[in-house]
Amino acid sequence: MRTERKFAAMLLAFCIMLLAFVPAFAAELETDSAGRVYDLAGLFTTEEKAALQNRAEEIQENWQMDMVFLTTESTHGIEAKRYAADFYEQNGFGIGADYSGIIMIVDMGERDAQIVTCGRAITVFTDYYIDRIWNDMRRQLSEGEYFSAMETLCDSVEHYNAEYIKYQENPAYVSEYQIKQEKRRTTLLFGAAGLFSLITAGIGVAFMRRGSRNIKPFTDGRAYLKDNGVNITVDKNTFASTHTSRTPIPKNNNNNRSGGSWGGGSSTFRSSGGRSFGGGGGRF
Amino acid sequence: MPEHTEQQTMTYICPGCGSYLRFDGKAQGWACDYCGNTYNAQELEQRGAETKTDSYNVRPRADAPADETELQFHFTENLSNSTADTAHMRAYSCPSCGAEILTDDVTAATFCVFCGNPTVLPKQLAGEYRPAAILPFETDKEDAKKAFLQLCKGKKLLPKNYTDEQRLEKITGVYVPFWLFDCKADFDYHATGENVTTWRDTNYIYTKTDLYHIHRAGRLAFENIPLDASEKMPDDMMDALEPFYLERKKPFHMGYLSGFLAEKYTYLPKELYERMTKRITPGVEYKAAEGRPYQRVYGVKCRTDFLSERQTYMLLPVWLLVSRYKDKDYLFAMNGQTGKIVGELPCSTGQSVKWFLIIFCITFLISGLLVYLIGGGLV
Ligand SMILES: [Zn+2]
Ligand SMILES: [Zn+2]
Repeated sequence: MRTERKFAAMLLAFCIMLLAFVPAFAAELETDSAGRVYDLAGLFTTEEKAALQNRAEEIQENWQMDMVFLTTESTHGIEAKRYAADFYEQNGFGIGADYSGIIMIVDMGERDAQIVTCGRAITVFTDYYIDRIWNDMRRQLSEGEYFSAMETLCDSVEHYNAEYIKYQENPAYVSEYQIKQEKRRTTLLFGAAGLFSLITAGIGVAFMRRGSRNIKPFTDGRAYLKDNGVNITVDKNTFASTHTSRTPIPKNNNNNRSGGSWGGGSSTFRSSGGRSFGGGGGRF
Repeated sequence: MPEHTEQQTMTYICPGCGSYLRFDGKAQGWACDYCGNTYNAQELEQRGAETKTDSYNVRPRADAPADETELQFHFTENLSNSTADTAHMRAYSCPSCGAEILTDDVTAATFCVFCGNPTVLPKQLAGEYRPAAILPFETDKEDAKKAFLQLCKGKKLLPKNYTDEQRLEKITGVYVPFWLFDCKADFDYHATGENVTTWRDTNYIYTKTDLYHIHRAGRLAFENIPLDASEKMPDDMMDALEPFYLERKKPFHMGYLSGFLAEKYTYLPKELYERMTKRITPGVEYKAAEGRPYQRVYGVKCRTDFLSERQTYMLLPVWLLVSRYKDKDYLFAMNGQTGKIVGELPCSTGQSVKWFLIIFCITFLISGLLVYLIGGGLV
């Protein structure tokens, strides 16, 4: 009996051990399935990877937008953004029916980095904002500060998501893009005003200079025609030819371009699965 | 494919005088407007009347030939001079520009009116001086001064002190030599007349182009076309001084020269002939093309024979002021009969720059303000 008890105790202990281990194991399994950092090129330290994972989870939670980091030495000849899009699609990333999310790929082989957007992220991160973010990241990437670049990306993603919510809730919201557009328009208008003024001044002075010359011929000769000095002997008008041509009336097709006051449009491409992705990036 | 139609027009030539004959529909015959003869078909045949065939190609505008003007002139020198007494005439020459200045023995020539040189030298009158007629001044020096100030008024670019009294004093009355031409112009004018109509249906815009061959011929008679015979006078300026009303001309007499200067002609009529024909050719072509019901006329081929049979030597009154500014002569002239002003005034570079900046600043201020107001949300 004692041995039975002992065995029972051992079993219990094993069970307790198992129970103690299972959550830990389960947690590790979960980390793997929810993992958002794929550092195949080995650009990040363990701490950095953990930090990025945290940021990704925060973004998921706060903005219902997936956030995936992928670094690689080679995309096997596939364009980095397509490679990233396929990776994103095949691994089932994305939140909601439209698979909203962003995958950041850093391809060390081609030194090409791309922010690839999907679903709602395409709407939020228009070409204009992608450009802004990319400009900030690019310098950091080329200086080898890969982790800082990713942090910049995360900060921007949170910032613009927050702005986008404001834009949706407040009809009077003026987006960064709008401000920029307006500034550009104003600069352009002032430039046009300057050019217009230059031309006006030039024409004005030319006119004044011309005004200082007051010499116009009096007649082309007709003033010296005698009375009854015109005698026409031949006056024939012979019909020579006629020719009718036709040209098609051009059809107007007004393509209304989308893109409201949030941030202009987003250019998109399709993954091999046929899904639509947006984004942008470049060499670093 | 561009159509290309060769037009043959056949016209009878008057057996009497060689002009074009006009077909008179009412009389069913041919009439000559120059010698007054009329012919019927039989008579023309009997007299072996020549016909003249003109070929002219009517082509669409895209490949129409450039306008072509052919001028010929026949010239009979028939100078109309006078035999006035020139005993009291004095001549001066300018050592600087070589101008020959004439006046009477009571009028002093103290500077050269043509170049502003302050000395002129007396000289022997060479040759004879026999203008047929003179058109006396009907305005005085005060009128000319006022006219000059009028011309300068409001000219913002004028150099400072341009209208000082010293300059005004130099305005001089000059009798400028002119040849007045009587001239006939026989023209033969061919051109293409184009009428275009357009209409549209739902799918197409249609353009119908009708081309016509215009042939006109005739004779224009001009009289008293004035051309200045002075080398010193800019031709465009003298042409702009017209008209002169010649009804009030007087036979030349030395007395008219008192207080004024005069000049001998430097050009003979034959040297001015080309200028004369060039001056009236636009008028001839205008008359030839006049009143045609076409939207466009092009491919003009106009041949004109000019015939001048009389040229009158005449002095016309001009108030003159030559001012030198930065190595260039600026001429002011006023028609001594009618008071008409022509002239060129200098522009100061400093003033030009100043006004450029003023206009620029004002325009930029206004347009900038507009941009600010319309642009609205300036951030
Ligand atoms: Zn005749
Ligand atoms: Zn001189």
